[in-house]
Amino acid sequence: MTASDLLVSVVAPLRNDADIVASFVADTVAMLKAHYLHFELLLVDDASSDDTQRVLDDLLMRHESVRVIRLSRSFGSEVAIAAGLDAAIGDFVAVMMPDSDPPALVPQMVEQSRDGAGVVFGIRRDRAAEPWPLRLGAAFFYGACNRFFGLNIPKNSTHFRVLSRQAVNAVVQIRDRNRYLRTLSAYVGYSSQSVVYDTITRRARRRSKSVLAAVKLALGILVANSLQPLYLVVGLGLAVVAANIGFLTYVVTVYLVNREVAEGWTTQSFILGAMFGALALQSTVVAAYLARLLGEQQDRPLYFVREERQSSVSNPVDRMNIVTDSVER
Amino acid sequence: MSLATANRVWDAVVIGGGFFGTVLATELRRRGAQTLLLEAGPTLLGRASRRNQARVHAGYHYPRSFLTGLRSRINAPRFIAEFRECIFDDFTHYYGIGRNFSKVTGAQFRRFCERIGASVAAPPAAVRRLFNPVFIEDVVQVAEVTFDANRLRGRVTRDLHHAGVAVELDTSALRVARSAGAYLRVAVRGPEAERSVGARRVFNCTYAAINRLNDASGLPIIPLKHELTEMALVEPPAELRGMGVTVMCGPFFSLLPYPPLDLCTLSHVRYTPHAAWHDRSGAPRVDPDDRLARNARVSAFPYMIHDVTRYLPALAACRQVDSIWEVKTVLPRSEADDSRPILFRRDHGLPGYHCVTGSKLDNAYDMLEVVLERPDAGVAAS
Repeated sequence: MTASDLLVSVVAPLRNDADIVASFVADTVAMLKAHYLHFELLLVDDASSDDTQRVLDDLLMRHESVRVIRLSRSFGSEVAIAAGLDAAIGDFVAVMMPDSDPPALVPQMVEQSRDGAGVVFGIRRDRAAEPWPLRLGAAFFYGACNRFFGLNIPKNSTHFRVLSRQAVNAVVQIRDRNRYLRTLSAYVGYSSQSVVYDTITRRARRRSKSVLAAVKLALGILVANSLQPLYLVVGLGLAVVAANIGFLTYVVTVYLVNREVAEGWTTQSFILGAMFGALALQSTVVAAYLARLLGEQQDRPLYFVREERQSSVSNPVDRMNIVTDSVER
Repeated sequence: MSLATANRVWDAVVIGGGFFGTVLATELRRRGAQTLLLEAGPTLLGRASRRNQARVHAGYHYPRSFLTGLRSRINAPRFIAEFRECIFDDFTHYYGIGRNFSKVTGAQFRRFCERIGASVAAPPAAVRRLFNPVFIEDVVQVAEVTFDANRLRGRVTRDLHHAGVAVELDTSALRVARSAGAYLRVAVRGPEAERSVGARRVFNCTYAAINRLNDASGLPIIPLKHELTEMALVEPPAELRGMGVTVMCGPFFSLLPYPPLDLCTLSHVRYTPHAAWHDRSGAPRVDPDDRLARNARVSAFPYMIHDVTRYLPALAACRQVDSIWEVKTVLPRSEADDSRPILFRRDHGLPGYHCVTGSKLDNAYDMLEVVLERPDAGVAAS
């Protein structure tokens, strides 16, 4: 494939991003125009409730090859990205977070992908700007994933990535509702490479994730990708059952040998507590997986699209004399 | 001809030698009216009637506009019967239903076809396998044909001749105005000079240019939406020879035989329109021919082919030969529901001056009936 045939797509999810989307689109389209003859920028609006759509109306008139997909309600950024990947036509598709990922890095990542990497993903250099509970939690999460859960998630990897058409075609076949692009693009295989980069920020104050949201995300990634927690609990349950059998044997033996058994309240309470504790733990985990299973088995579409629009400018010569509709729609 | 016709008053002057203009002129003449047909270009049926997808709509295309679908079921067989020698049906046509972004589902599409009485059949397994199931939900085989624009031109030319319609090519209508008597005068510019012709009735059938004459004559502008469109002319790969493919119903595409050139047209809902503008009163008017001439004609084929190969991987091997560029005109009201009604404005600003336009050839039957049989139809409500 020669450079002139190359078509590069950029997919970015939006959610109440009216303040930054204009600068993101301007930077990204300028970068794409400078490097590629054919490109598209796909913005997936995850049902923003702010001015995002109005800003987009204006951007569609000013920039070429921009497409907007508007979801019918908020499905979350991961599903918004999935909708973007479904619609992207590029030979290479970059996924970017509009607030934090630098467009200037895309050409380099596309080159790496052209050289054979199915996925080129970004790793943020420095998390110093984040609050310490998040950083600590992240360190714990990555450590636990690698050590206990058999889940190799590159430390500090972000959503920022370039996927080859082959990798995109594989990812779009996975219709999991609880989806994490970071683990999905590793799951589909193909070779991967990483790029360490400094995140940027288009906002004066970056929106930071709450600790609760981070914990939810961590649990979600674990449950979606690893059966280790279930196996650990099953192991624990087996151990408790074995200990219980030993203890019962001991109790029976003591009963047979020693005829003066009167107290035992402490022991009884201990057994009850341990057993119920283990049972509760087990049923919680089983319930979590069952819920996941049920969620995946409902054969519903992953998302619904409210509308799709595209730039009303196709090339610079066409920029004059364009009147967009204001009354008929 | 121009000398002989200089001072006479025609019963009818039809402006625009596209399909609507030619069939209307023929029918008027057959009913006894002395009729003059003016065509600005060098040939009849040289513009939008030729530069389109050549689809003879059998209704399948309009699951979101029941009436358009139903009228197609009535008019298409009539068109096919009347223009038998112009029909190209040496291919099998399949409709694919897109999975993620389609406005209809496979089940809805089948039910719609059933309701309008359009037949659908299961495609052979080998054909089904050509479609990527990740993006295509359902594939059905339909009975829908195309027409050969060259043959159609020959046919309408003969019809005009046999009926006795006077035809002037390379002649455009500049203005229309009320004359001293009970008739209209049309200022025309032919190959030689400007002159004017008298007429009792004038029909403006100039499609995209309909407001050019209205504007120049100081008549109300009809709100219309125009699109500058590109259809790629392609040579399909061997696996797809003898096949037509339409993917519905949303930002998808069709690949249909284009008999005059023995190629296929590839059109894409997202990439075929290159620019859009509106005719509306008060706004600066964009001349369609001028707009078409100014277009840089940077083909969107790379975008089309990147998208369509996701649905139909075999298309990766198709080769672009050329593109057809034309201005397509739709009624602003059709944008939401994808309907294709005929626009008829009787006595548009002037008694005896009528504007007629449509987007489908077989609609000509409805057009003739409304224009010639129903004197009350087409009177603007406002």
